[in-house]
Amino acid sequence: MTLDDIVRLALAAERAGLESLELSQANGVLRLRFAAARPPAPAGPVVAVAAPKRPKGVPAPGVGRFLHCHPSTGQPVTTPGQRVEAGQIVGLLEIGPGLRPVPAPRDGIIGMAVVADRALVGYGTILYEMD
Amino acid sequence: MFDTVLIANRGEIALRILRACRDLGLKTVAVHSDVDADLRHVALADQSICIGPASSSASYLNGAEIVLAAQLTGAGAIHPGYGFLSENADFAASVEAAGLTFIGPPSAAIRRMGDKIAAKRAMMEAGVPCVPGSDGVVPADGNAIRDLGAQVGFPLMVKAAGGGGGRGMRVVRNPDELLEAVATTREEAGRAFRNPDVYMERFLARPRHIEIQVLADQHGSAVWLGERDCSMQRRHQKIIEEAPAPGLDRGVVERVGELCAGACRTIGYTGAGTFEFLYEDGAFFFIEMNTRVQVEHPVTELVTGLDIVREQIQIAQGKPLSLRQADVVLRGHAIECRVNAEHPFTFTPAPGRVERWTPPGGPGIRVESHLYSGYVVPPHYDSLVAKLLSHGATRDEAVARMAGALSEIETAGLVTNVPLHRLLLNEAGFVAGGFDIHHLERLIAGGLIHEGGER
Repeated sequence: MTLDDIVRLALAAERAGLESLELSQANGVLRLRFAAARPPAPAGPVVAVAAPKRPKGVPAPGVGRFLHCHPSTGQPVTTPGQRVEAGQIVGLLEIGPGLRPVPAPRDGIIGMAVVADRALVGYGTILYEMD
Repeated sequence: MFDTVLIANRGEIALRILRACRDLGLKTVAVHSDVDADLRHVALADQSICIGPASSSASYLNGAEIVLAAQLTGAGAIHPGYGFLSENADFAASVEAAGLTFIGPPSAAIRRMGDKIAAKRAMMEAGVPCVPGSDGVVPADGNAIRDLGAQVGFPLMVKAAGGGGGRGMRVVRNPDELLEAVATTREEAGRAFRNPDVYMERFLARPRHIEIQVLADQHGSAVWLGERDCSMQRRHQKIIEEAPAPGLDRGVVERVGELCAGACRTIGYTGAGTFEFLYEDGAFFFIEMNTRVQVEHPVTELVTGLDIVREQIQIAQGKPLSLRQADVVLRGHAIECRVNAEHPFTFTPAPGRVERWTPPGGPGIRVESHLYSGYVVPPHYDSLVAKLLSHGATRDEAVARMAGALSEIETAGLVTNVPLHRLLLNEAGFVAGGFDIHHLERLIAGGLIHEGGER
C-alpha cells in the first residue's frame, strides 16, 4: 500500500462520513481516525440545561449492531475487570460492511456487556457496565 | 415496494407522517435525538432509535446516520418532513444510492430547484411568470453589473442563487449602492450557501405571498390543489396562512395553477411541492419552489378534502395520483395559526414545560401538535409546537371558529404566541383580508401590537 492509496482511502472514508477505518492486511494494520467536526453553536438563547450525568456505563457513539467480539479475531475487544483509559476503544458496532469503534467515556474498569450480541443499539445506549 | 417508513424529523410533522403511514398500513421507525426520546411519535412508532445528541447537526442533519438507521431497522423509505434534510439534494441522493426510497422528488429535481437561478430559468421555460430580473448570474464586470441594474430598474433585489426562504437577499434602492450590494451578497452567499452566484430581480413594494400546492406522480400526471395566502409574516416567517387567497381573480389563479402543474411535467418533478409567488397588482411572479411538504399543507387539505402526506407516500410507492384535476374542488375557507413557544410580542423563544395541554375542538377545528401535558419543549429546535386550523363555509365562519379555538386553547406553563394570534384575528387588516407581506411588520413598527394588546 502506497501513501497515495492511503490518501485515496482517507478521502473516500471522509466522504462516507466514517469516524475511523481499520484495514488489516498480511503485512500490517492501517488505522485511520478522523477528528470530529466541531458542531455549530446552537441558535437562540441559552437556557439552563442540567449538566449531563457521569455515564454509568459505556454508551454507544451512534447506531449499529453491538458486537461482543471482533469479527476478524473472534476475541472480545475488552474483558470484564480490564482497566481502560478515556478514549480507548473498548467495543465495536457493526455498521453495514464496516465497524465503528466504541470509546471508553472516561478512565475506569470495564464491566459486563449489558446488551446482547448483535443487538441493534442507538446513540447513548449503554453497552458495558463501568466502574 | 417499501412496507416501513423511517421518519427523519421531529415534532408535529413527525406525528403527522406517522399517522399517514398508519392509515396506509405501513410500519414506522422514529429516529430522534437524545433530548427527544419523549416525543409523542417516538412512543407511537413501531420502532425507535436514538441517532445522536440534541444538536441538529449531530442528529436530524446527520444524513449518514439516518440512512444507516434505515438500513439497520429495515425501513425501505425515508420521509424527511420539512426543514432539516428535506430539501438537501445530497441527502436525497445518498438515500437513492443506498437503494432506499426518498419520499419526495428525485434528488436531481431538488438540486435544480435549490439553485434559484436554475429554478427560475426552468420556470420561464415552462411559461410560469417570474419577477423581471437578470435572468441568470450577475456578471463579474462592474460596468456590466451597472447596465444590468439599469435594465432591471430600481429599487431591485440582489439575491443569492443558493438562498431562499428570505435568506441571502438585499434591497438596492439606487444605482450607487449596486456594486457594493452585489459584492456583499456574493461574499455572504459564498460563506452561507457555498455558492457565490447572485442574480437581480425587480423589487416589489407591497406584494402578497401566494403559493400553489402541487402533486405529481411518476406516471406523468400532475395536479394543482388551489392556492394559499401566506402574507401574514414576520422576518419571512409565516405565522398565519389561509386558503383560498381572499379577493383574487379565480381565472388568473387557475391559469397560474395550470402552468405550475404543467411545469411539474416539464421538469420531471414528482411528489408534493409548492410554487411560491409574489402577487402584486393582479399579477403573479414566481420566486421559488419548495420541494417538500410544507408546514401549512393542512390548510389545503381542509379545502380540498385530501391527505397530502398520504398522497406523497403513495406517489413514492409508484402509485398513480388518486385524483384528476377535475376532481379537485375547493370547499369553503381554511385558516392556520402557527402556535410557537415564543413570547407573543418580543418573539424570543420560550422553551419549557407545558403543565397542562388542552387543545380546542368543535366543528371545523383541527389541531396538529405533538404536545401533551408534562411535555418539555427543548430549546434546541424550531419553536413551532402546534398548528391550529379552522375550516368554515365562508372566510367569516373560518375566522369566527379560529377566534373561538384561540379562546379555548390552553398551554399552561408554556409561553406561546397565542395572545398575538388573538389580537391578529380581530385586527382590521386581517379581518378585511388581502394584506401584503409587510402588514405584520407595519403593525409592530406602528406600535399596534405590544404587551398590553391593541392600542
